[in-house]
Amino acid sequence: MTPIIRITIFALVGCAIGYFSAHYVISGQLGDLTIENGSWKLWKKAGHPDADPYTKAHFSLRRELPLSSFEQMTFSADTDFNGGPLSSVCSYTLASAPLPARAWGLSIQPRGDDAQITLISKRTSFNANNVVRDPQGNFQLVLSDSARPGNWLPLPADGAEFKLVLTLINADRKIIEDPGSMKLPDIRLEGCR
Amino acid sequence: MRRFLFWSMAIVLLAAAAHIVTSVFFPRLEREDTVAALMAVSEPNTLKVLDDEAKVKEVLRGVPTDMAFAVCPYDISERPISISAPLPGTYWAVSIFEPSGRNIYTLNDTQVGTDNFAAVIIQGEAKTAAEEDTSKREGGGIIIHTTEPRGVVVIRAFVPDLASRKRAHALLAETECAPALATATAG
Repeated sequence: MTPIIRITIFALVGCAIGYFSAHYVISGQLGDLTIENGSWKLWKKAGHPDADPYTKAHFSLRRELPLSSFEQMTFSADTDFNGGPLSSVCSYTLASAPLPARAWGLSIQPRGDDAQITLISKRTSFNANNVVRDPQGNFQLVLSDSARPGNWLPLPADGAEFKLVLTLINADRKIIEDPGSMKLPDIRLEGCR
Repeated sequence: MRRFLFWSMAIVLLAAAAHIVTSVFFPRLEREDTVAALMAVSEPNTLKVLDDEAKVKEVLRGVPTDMAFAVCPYDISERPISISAPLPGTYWAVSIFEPSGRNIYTLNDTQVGTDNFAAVIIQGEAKTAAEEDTSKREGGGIIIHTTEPRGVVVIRAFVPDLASRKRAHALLAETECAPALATATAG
């Protein structure tokens, strides 16, 4: 093996190991940087002044400027209760008890950072003020590309995969300290077309 | 054997360097670009209400959709900047970011405690939250210290429903963000 080939292999292997090891940690697939609660994932140190470099890198590469969990907690889910990817060719129901925060919002967003979704309605979210609840404060959302009664959140018409983002604003202190203890909405698959 | 050990060590060192570049250096550049794009939304010391949703998605990625935003890039190298804003009665928050992307200050409406927020951003050593609380001006505003002469103020207001969005934008437009008239001293 000539020195040139040896050095090229060395450079490729070294850079690949370095890049992919960083990529897996930054995307939350390795390490203990996120908390999983059912289908939902939360970056523990998002927006904290003492956040680790990987958490900072995660949000920086997505060009986001998160606030700390004392101000807002952002959970995202790209799979349903059974682990299947969220797809707009399917319908889902989300049932939830009252969420322990001053306000909250739940929205549909593209799955990839630079992906686009074609929305069929101006409604892309529900929040603590406009969701219809039962007398106990529980609520249920239906996600589908065809109109449904109640809290209907229209899904993209193009069959794209999507993710759900749940933002809690000024969450209760207990939840901030232990996000895994909160009961978040279950995302149940109803069926696919 | 010695050659194998040499190349193994060399690969580990190169991998470590690539790991650091990928997880620290590139993200830092992206973060600075993100804040630079936000600061380019309007002239320094001028408030801009982001009433175009496409613009919000472009410069403030990942933010909740049920919020209305206004930004005020500032340059306090010559004079401090004064911010005053009426509060909407629903969730409202102000955050200040340095060009590096560091969030140096965030305060929400319940923490403000009144129906109007007033603050002056001045250059100086940052103080602890307790120290900031005691460094009130005569007018009752909060003094916020920053070591960086430039940065951006982001103000967000909760939008309870689609019909309220215009009202939220109108309220944000009442925010004043301009060079301070009174002299505030650093320190």
